[in-house]
Amino acid sequence: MNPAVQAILFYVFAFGALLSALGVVALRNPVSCALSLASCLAFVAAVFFGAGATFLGIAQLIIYAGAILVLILFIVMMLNVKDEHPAAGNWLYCVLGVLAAGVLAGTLSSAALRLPGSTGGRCPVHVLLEHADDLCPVQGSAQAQQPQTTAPTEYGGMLPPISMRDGESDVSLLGKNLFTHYNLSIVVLSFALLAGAVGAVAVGRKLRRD
Amino acid sequence: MSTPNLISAAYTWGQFTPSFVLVGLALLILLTDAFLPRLNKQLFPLVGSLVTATLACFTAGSSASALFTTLACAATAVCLLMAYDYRSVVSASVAGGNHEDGVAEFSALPLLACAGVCSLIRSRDLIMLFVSLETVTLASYAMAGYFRRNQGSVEAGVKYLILGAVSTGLMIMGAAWFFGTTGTFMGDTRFLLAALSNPYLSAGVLISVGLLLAGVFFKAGAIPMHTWIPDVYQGAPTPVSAFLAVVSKLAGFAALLIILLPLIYLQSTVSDMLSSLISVLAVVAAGTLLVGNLGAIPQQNTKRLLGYSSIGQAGFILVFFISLKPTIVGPVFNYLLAYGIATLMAFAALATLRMQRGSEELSAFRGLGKTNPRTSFLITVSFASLAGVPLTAGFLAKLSSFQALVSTINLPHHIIYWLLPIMIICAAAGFYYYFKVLRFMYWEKPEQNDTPVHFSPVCIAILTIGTLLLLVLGVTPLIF
Repeated sequence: MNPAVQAILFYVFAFGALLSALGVVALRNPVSCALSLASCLAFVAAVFFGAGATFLGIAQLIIYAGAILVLILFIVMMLNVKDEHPAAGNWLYCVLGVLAAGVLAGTLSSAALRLPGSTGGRCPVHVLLEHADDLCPVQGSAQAQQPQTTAPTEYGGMLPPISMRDGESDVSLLGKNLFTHYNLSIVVLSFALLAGAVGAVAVGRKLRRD
Repeated sequence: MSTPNLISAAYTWGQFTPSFVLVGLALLILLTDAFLPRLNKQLFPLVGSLVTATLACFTAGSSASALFTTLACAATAVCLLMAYDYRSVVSASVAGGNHEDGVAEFSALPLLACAGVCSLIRSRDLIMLFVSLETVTLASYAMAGYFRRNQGSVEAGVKYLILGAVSTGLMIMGAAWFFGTTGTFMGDTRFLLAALSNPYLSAGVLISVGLLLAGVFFKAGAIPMHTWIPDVYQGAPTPVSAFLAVVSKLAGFAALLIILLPLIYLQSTVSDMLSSLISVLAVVAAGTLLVGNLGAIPQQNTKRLLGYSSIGQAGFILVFFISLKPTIVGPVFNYLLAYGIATLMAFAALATLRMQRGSEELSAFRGLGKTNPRTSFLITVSFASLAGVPLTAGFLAKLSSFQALVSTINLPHHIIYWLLPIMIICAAAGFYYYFKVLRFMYWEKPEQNDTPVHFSPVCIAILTIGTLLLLVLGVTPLIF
């Protein structure tokens, strides 16, 4: 794709995502909040498509914008939430909250501004794709110069890295990784779901009337 | 460089045997509850405790992960015993009357949480770490809000859920930054070094570590993520508070070790990068010490006091991390062991007092020295160990924390000059508020109608074994 078009599309989608994210926080009506969350997720999915992560984009659309949002909308409508009233807060807490949020936002954006492609007026996606070989520590030129440091056997020992670029489509790569590399993580995830289900049933059970 | 076979399983199934056993046991308990409704449900916590204690014996070993697993399983077993002891309150607060609804789930949830801790201890990448941490957290939410007839418990559950969700979000954000900057989810020193020595990425790595730490600090109870602790400990059922104070905190510190150890191994290579990390850890440790120990002083509710105490003790453990040395794993475990035993004892005694005197205030301990002299001695040992009285395990643990700080004297940060006074003040404050309990036991007179408190055999057993362990560990520094 033409870098100029790529850049324009990226900025349009990123700006749209930012605006709708602001809408989630600023809007009063819960249904509008949920809908602007949907548009935010859709814009992020568009950015994913632009960066070549097709599967991620589709998953984002189906799972987040599709399933999770419908769930949120259902809850909002079932609870029949009226407009949200701003809480009358202590001004000290307001100042502290703004300060903490500002520090977090400043830290994140200062780190983001140091990433390649963030400055210089070029399309970030394009620059990232150009630099991918140098920057990817797994397979790039960066790794060649690294001395082998001794790794602890326990906690953070050596594990085989995953290659993200060996000519496969990202769907098959993701599938392979899920069923091999992250096999046990998914098993442990099932424990988490079990705990959540047991907890939900136990806490949500009907109280006896006696 | 040739590409090795890149796709292969990162873990073996055998490493996760303890988790599988615990989840199997939890499922067995739930199925038995469903299919054998006439069975005496008080068996569930007893069987759960027995199997978990046996598992603790089997997993014992000399490696760090084996030690942590053993402590987690043993503490879970004690919490289940406490839940058995606490059964009258469980029945009254869950279903009302003497119905035993919910006893099975109340014994299955700690087992599931413990399974999460066991797999967390073995995890070597952020995905497994996060998934295990979520297992612990999801089970804990339900446990904290388990007493639905009790306003405080529901409030504790909701508070824990909301604050926990925030910390989970921060942690996921950190994991995303970690993957973006290092290209992997593993705490592998090679990739970390590559990213840290890249001028574009080094700031991103530090941010990712910061966000991950924020998520882990929530579990470990360090500032600024400590705010949930006093409220949740006060509101949650007492065995659950004990579980959160010991097992959940252990999970937090195990996760902290897993995240920080790769950086610790790189410390000599990129020490200028990590100097900011050291300062952050020092400030967090100092803040945690101050908030926990000074906040505990005015408390009148024993569970709140133990909540602040757990924050304060977390501060002493965080001091170990300032030195960023690979040798901290042992001292951290020893501190958690001494703290865990004493805290479990305190909660066990408190659960009995709550049932018999109907109060969790410090005044519930009034006159125990007169009415129950032997048991008071056991409780005294537990609080003395928390305060750090010599000849108890708590003293050696606090001593090693001071030693760890002194060993950083050669670092260019001069942390010791301002942190040492803070530590001394906080240790002294600890003596004041832990001994408030002892003052109520020995100096306050029992009220007219106070009868001796009947401590159940289970509670006496927990207190006696705990006292023996604390005293033995306190006089044998060679083992320690």
